[in-house]
Amino acid sequence: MGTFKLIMGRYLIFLMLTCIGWINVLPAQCCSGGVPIAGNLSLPGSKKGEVQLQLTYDYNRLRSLFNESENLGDRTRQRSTHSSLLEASYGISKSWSVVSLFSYVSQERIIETIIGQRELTRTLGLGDVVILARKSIVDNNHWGLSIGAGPKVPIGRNDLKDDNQLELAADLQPGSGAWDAMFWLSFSKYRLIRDRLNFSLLGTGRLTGRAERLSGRQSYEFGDEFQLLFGFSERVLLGKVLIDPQLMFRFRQVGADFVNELPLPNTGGSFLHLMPGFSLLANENLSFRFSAEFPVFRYVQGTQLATSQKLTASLFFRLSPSQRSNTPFSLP
Amino acid sequence: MKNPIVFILRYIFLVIIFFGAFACSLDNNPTPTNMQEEPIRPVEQATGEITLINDEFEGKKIVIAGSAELNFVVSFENEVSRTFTPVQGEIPVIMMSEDSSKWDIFGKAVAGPAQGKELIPTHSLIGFWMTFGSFYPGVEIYEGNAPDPGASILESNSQEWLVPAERVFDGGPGKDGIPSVDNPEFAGKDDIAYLQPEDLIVGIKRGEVIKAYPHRILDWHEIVNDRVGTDLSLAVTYCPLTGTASGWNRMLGGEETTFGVSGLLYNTNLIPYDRKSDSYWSQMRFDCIFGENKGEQAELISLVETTWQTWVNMYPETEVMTVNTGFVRNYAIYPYGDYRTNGERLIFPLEYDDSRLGRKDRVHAVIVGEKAKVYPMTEF
Repeated sequence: MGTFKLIMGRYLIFLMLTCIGWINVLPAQCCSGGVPIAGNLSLPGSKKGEVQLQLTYDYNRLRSLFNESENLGDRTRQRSTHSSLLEASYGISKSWSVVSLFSYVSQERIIETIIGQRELTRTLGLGDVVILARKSIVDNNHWGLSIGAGPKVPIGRNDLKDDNQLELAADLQPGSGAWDAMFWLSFSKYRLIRDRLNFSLLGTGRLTGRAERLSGRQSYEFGDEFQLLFGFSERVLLGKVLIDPQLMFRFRQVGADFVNELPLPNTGGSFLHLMPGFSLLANENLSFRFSAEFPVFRYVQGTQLATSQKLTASLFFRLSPSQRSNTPFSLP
Repeated sequence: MKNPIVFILRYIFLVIIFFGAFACSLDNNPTPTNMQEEPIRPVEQATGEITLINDEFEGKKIVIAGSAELNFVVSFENEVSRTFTPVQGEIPVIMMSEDSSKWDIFGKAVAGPAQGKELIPTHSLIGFWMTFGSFYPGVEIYEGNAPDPGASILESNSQEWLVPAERVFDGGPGKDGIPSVDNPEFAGKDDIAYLQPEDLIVGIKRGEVIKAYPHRILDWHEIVNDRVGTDLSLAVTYCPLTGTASGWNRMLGGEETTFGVSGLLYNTNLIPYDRKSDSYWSQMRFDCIFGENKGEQAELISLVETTWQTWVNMYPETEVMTVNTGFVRNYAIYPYGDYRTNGERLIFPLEYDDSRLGRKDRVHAVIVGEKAKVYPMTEF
């Protein structure tokens, strides 16, 4: 077991460095729209003494210009976010655990100008950190229910400047500069109809705080956010490989940003994405997950870019002091 | 646990209530104005009283003519000290000089002994009051008796910028993220079905060519690069955040350029860039503030801002920009919510917030060098 942990530890470090390296060497061709913190708080609660780690690479590309629910077909602008996220969970008692989420973010904005030029603006840096306390309410072979809450701590910079030393827009910054309150809920129903068919629901809420920007001359508050991730997964054996194919939906509703305490036009909206994916399970303590997201419904306030594609890849690793998890499935 | 299903259902219920309330409580934007696409109303006869102000500013005699009902204000230098009186009910004729010559809204004598002569338009802007104090410290208000609280304008400490670089902000969309219209299409008034009579337009008359550039399009594109007649390369620049429109000659140093939206703002005002040299200009200062052309002045082209109704009454033969801009936008919607009427709403900071008038009060500003004097629309 010690050797196994050592090998996995090396894998984790390797993947982490690869993700960060990947972000750093990405060709200068995209831009971005928000650090995907709330949507990536996906670790199940840890048992007492158990450590769970999940390293995630998340790519979100916004390329569709919408007026409310109408796609305007304008392809001149792109925003993208490349995020490396490290989520760590530690079980401090039978039902309580602490989770933290660190992010390293590259935000990009690219514009295809009408004279055929490509304008790229790019920022890179450590994002904000989330710390959640979680309580497992039910955890047996049939059901799982956990809730959590905690702050998002603004350690990421929100005052990065461009080459001309001009402060960049708030949504290009890796950090928000504000303390937010995060709420989290996970519900699972195992053995649905069949033994290995599971239903999962993950809800996150984010009540945002206000940040000072532009040398204290502007107060900026990102819109409050609510997300529901729900769907089904089933465990199958393909040859000698255990796979959890998943079909999930992500519903996300974001309120308007506030500038100087007044709502900012053309911010906020509602989105429903279809999210097929799969997990490859080496064993209960090590798995790899991949998912893609395709917009099903997009409604934006005013006119905004909306997500066109989203990809997520994660490596999950569990260090358990002795006992194994009794849950046959964990979200995601 | 007696009945796990009841237990779980109870939790689910609580959760749905909690998150449902959470989701419903999310703040959203104010409904954009003009969201409901109203049926287009016909243009009727424009009526309104014209008021004239003969004034002097920075040693220059000027005449300012305007009408709140007709929604225009124009101003001209009065070099030879003519005595003007307003002419009512004959727009585009707006005033008469003592020799009975009649002058139109572009300052051209269209009848009488002075026929054919043209007044020199002042350097002027119509826009929201809030920015003039930042651009022109000590700005005077016509017949205003409130003392100027005193502006403290920062000097640039940058070798590269003529304005304080730390006060130039990224507006969000990025360079050319708000696309200028470079190939505008025009049609006659009878073929235009997206303008309400009260919609503002910016118009030009040059010889027989008469063109209108509606705010409904400028709100989304901010710059239109056009040709007027055979000899004028015109850039109509418009900043929705300051409400100011200005016509610039696109010939720079003998070469034609186009202007684009840099995505940057200084004192919440548009910074156009010229694509030939990639230099950045200040719309409300009329000069280049960064780059190869730094320090150069824009050559201003006289435009008139008024309503579609007034413009059509004056120039029924006008051409007007169509919505075939090369981009798909909902021109029925004003994209900034209640920005143009809500005096509290300020998205980007001003260097100096002069409270002598309401932030969004529309004023006509006459600018001489680094000085400005404003004439509130309510004076007309």
